[in-house]
Amino acid sequence: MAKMIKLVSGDGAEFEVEEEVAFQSKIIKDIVADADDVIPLPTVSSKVLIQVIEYCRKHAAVNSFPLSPSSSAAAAASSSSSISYSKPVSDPALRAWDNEFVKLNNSSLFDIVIAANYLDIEELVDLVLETVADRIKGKQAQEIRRQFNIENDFTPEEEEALRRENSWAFQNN
Amino acid sequence: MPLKSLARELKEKRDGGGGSMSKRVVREGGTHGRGGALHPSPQPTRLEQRQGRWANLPPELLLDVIRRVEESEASWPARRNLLGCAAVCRSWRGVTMEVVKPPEQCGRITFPISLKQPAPRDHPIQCFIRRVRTTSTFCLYLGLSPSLQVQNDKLLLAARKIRRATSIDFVISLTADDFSRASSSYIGKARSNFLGTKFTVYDSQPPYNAAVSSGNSSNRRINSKRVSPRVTAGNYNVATISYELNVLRTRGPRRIQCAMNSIPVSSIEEGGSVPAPSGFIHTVNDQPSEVPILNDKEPVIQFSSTSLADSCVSVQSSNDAPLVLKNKAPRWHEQLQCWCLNFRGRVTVASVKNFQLVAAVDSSRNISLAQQDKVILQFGKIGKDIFTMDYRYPLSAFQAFAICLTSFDTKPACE
Repeated sequence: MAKMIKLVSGDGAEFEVEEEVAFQSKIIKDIVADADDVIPLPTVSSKVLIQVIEYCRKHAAVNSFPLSPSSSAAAAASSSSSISYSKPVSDPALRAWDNEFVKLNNSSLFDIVIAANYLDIEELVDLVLETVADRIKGKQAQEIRRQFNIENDFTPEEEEALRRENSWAFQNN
Repeated sequence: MPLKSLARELKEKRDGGGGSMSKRVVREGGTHGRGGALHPSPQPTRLEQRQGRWANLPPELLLDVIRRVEESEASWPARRNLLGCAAVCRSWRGVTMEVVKPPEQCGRITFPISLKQPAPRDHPIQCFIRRVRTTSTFCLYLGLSPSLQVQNDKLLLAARKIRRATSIDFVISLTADDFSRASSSYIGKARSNFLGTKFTVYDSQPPYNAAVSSGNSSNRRINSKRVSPRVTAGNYNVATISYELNVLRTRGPRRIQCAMNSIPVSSIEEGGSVPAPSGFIHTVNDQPSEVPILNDKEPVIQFSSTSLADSCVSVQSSNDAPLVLKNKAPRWHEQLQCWCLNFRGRVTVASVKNFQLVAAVDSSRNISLAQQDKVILQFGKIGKDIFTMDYRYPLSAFQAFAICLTSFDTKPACE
């Protein structure tokens, strides 16, 4: 009988998940004491927690089989000061699943990356950040602002200088 | 409680096995943003209010994202994406400026200011210059040679040769459309004397931030993260280039000597470095009459009339002597019976304009032989109106371009 961990979302909903699923989160793994299996997560809403659990469940199933080397070992070995990306997911089926998983709007992605960062689920953070980076590439500032709902806080003077910088970047001949 | 039943459902799903994503659960649970929740969402909490606010992304995550963008966009034209990131908002600009290293460290040109920062020490940055005779224009591009598709070539700087009564000016700009000195694209110029044997290179702004610091309100300290304040263009003498009069008319490359006023000799010593600007001063067309226009007697002008006592009479940052560059001596090729310079394939057409510059040092300085032998600037012809330009530390693209441009002026006294 698998050991169950109870996660409680910010809005009070309880989710019972297997230990190995919950342990995709390093934070949870660290703080699970012997007695207390109920872990309150006040900053994570149910909506987001469900998505995160879904991801963890999928990846726990894969990680438990040593055929594809677990990235958690690689991550543990690397230093925390440098940006080290966890090993790319080698299983093509899992990669395909991941790609489907992140077909979300930017607002949802934001929630997930915040939660994954908080829970220290490195692979999920990586996945979302990679997705975000892909969405940024090839876009000009205005488009990035629009897509990610970011306010332009430059002064008109600075804006003008930025326009010049940009026109240099985009000119040819 | 509807949410508890959902938790039960997840449990049942687990018990039922199967690793594939269940669309049914997804739809019901509303895990996809598009799907919509089955159950009415609870009162907007503090959580909901935070959602979607990418501007509040924790700095370490923003750093991670921009690093990924930077690593994947190493070369142009993709590299311009980084300028997009730097123009989104202040925090993004700050992070992008942190992530993007100056050319000396990463060997890449990213922002316009990269053109005024030194190249790496170990390998040169390779560019080419295209001359357009009809308009007396010269364009500097990043890359080994012109690519098949013209739009793939990254234009770095452009220059126009302007004849004056007693001199010739090569006006250097960020764009090939505008060579006006009052324009914000104006970068600097190289001005010759009457004979075309001596040139002075002027930078439109101080070659490094130290010269600008002052209490003057119009001279706010340049912070590379901030987009900079308004100041009018100046003329800072950064180099003097002389071509030796070749009265005997002997064949071979012209003898060139460049005194780099803004680069101390110590920069090429062990552990040395060269000060360089970290951000642009952007010019605005207001009251140019405040600042005296260059005249031949006083090549360097002050920033403003209220600048501090340490005004920019000279741009030397230290008391050290300026670095002097001179032609690399050709080697006698016994078999071919001629003097040769090894351009390593980067120059393929014989021309009196071709040259290699190395540092001219005396033995009292702590500079290794290997360092002395390094070709700091190489320029030469590869085709009709196409020339390559390879430059390395401690030169910047602007300085290298200016030096090469002087080679285009005909020198009746030298040939």
